[in-house]
Amino acid sequence: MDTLTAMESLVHPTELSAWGRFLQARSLHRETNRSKNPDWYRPALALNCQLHLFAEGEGIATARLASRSGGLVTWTEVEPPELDADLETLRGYLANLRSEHLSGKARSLGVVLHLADEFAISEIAPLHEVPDDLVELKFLLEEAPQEVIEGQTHAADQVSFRFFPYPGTENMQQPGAAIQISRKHQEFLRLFRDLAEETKFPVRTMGLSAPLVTLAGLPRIIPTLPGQPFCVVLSYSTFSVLAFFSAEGELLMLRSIRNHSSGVAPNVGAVVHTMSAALELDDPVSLVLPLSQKDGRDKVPQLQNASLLDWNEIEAVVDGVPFEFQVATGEKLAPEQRQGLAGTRTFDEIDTNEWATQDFLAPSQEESEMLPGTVEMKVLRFGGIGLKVAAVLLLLAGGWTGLRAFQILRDPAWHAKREDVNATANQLLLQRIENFKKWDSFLADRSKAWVSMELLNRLFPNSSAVVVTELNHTVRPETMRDQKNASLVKEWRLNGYANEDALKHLTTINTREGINEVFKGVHEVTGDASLDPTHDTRNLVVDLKASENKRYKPDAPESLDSQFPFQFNLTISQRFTADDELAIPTSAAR
Amino acid sequence: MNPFYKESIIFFGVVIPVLIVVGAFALVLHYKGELEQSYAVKRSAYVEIQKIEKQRRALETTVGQQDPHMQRWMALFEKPTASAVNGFLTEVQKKFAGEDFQQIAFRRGNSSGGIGGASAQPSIQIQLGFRGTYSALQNAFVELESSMPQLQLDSIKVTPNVNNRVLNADLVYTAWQNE
Repeated sequence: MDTLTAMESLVHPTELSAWGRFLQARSLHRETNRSKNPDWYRPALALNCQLHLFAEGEGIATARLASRSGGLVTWTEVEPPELDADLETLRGYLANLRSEHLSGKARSLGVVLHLADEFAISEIAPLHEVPDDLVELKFLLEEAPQEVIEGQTHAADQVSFRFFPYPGTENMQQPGAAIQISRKHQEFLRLFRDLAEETKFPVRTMGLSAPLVTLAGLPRIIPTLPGQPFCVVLSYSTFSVLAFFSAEGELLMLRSIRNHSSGVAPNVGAVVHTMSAALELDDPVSLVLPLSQKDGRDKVPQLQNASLLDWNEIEAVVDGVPFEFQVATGEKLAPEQRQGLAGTRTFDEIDTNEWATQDFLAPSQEESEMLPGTVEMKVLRFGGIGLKVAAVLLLLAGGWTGLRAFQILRDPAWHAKREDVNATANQLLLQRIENFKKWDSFLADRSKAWVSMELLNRLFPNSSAVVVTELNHTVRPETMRDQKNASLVKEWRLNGYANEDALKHLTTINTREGINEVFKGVHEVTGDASLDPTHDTRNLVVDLKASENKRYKPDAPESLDSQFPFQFNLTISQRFTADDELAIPTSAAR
Repeated sequence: MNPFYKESIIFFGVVIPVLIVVGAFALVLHYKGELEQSYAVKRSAYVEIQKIEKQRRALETTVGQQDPHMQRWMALFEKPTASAVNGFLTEVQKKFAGEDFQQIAFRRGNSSGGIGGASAQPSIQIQLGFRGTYSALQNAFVELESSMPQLQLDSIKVTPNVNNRVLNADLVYTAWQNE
């Protein structure tokens, strides 16, 4: 059992599910460099390395390898492959070609088969409605030739049709010719494409009609117009193509003539005469162009008064390389270079729309549908890159999150539980402290009897100058509703007798500064905080009432109160506000 | 473009991966957001806990420093105040000779009054009467009031005795009670 080729291993997308189509496309994306190398999708003639094969007679007459670099084409003669070669043979041929002639930098290969072994023209049926756009007619002919060609009976998979226009003709019923070439070499090119899939090396193929390519290159051989109608005979080994031009150089008609089996052309002169008459061409000039790579000039059609053209004599043409090869790889003329025959509508149209380089052996529609297009490949490629970038970003984000989670999980804060904290304990401790403060306040040195007696001492430092008959000290709290602490008033009332010196002393005391000084002195001596007069929450008031002692009898020593000339009444009031540290707590300690 | 591949490649090659990536990102961000949110809550609680524990340590230190004082103060209430005062004065009286210091009155009130009347803290009033020299009285009061700080003086009245050698002192104390 034969092994499947790379292409044969592919399944047509219509037979696959959506997921299967994606998998097949992804497989092609991964296993080939289709998404990176645009040459997979470029025409063979646009590639830098091209293998040009000249099919003539039963095989390939000659082969050249064209290497394009910086606008210059270098031609290398190579061994031509067999047209009926099998896949194995072509595999070896391609491998040999790549190793011997293609540098390692070659990214692709274009295989261009110039079909010089057959050429037929079919009559386009008289159209009821000729499309204004010739391109539309071209597609119609390619896709539905039976609608355009009268009596067309060939199967589409056996014969390839391409439209070739007569842009300069005035006969709108015949806007061009339907060129017909068999698909007998289709398999040959398909094997090259199979090898491309197998070797992952882009090989693009093309089947060109050699006469059409030569026709497009005629302005190189006939740069100036002959000044009268002319007929160009393109001579190949098995057929000749006759191209009739008007005096203005416009192509009017193409005709092909098959050679006799002996290889000798039939009576071309009669055909030229007949056609010239039909086209109403007055005495056309005949120009014969031998193009066969096999035969000598002895088999060139014989025409009277005909000129034989030798394209090898033209400048800028590489001698020995088939003319078709050089035309196919040549650069298009710039509009300002279009002069003489090149400036006609015919050649302008042929050049502009590349009518001469139409691919007669293009891959079948089924084969084309098998492979994803360049856009799909780019979507897969950039989608893959985007996915990788996203995956890296995702990985980084995940890693960062993981690292952060690790940090967080290691933080004692993560494991702390609110219920672990006994806030009640703090409340109890606060209560104990509050309790302590209350007891501290209850037990404070707020009012002491011995301190009051010391105050008495300080009020009257000279005990012989005064006699105190009564000391009355009271402490009176002042309660207000809803107050935390109760303010209090301490009052000292002293009654007695004094001499003049003592009265003077009492008068000194009877001032804010005087009584403050006394309290300050007692505070310093006793350490009793209640007598500290410097607090803003305390107010100290002194009131002295003194008068003469009516019982004053200095000569009666038995009575003390009669020994002093003055009697006095001293009242000292000390008020503590509720904000004072010695104010009385109204609530109980616990 | 190949229409047979276009939709499946766009769907499986772009739409699904984008959805997966966006979903995964959303999942990661959601998880991280949840984690950070939980962490912020726990962190805040942890800071609060630390604060409370720090407060507790400070409070315990304070309470530890206060405890000896409290124990000393509470010891004052182990004996009934009135009998403690009476016993104390008996001892003081022994230190002085004859007329230098004499306790002449002692009366225990049952209700709060004076300073004690301003507070909800339980208290009683004790009325004391003394006769003695100035210095003896003052020394006795120093000892009494220093030893029994629960006594808060409500009033004192000092007058000379008729023989003018000693003083009469009438005192009223508020005595704080523990219970």
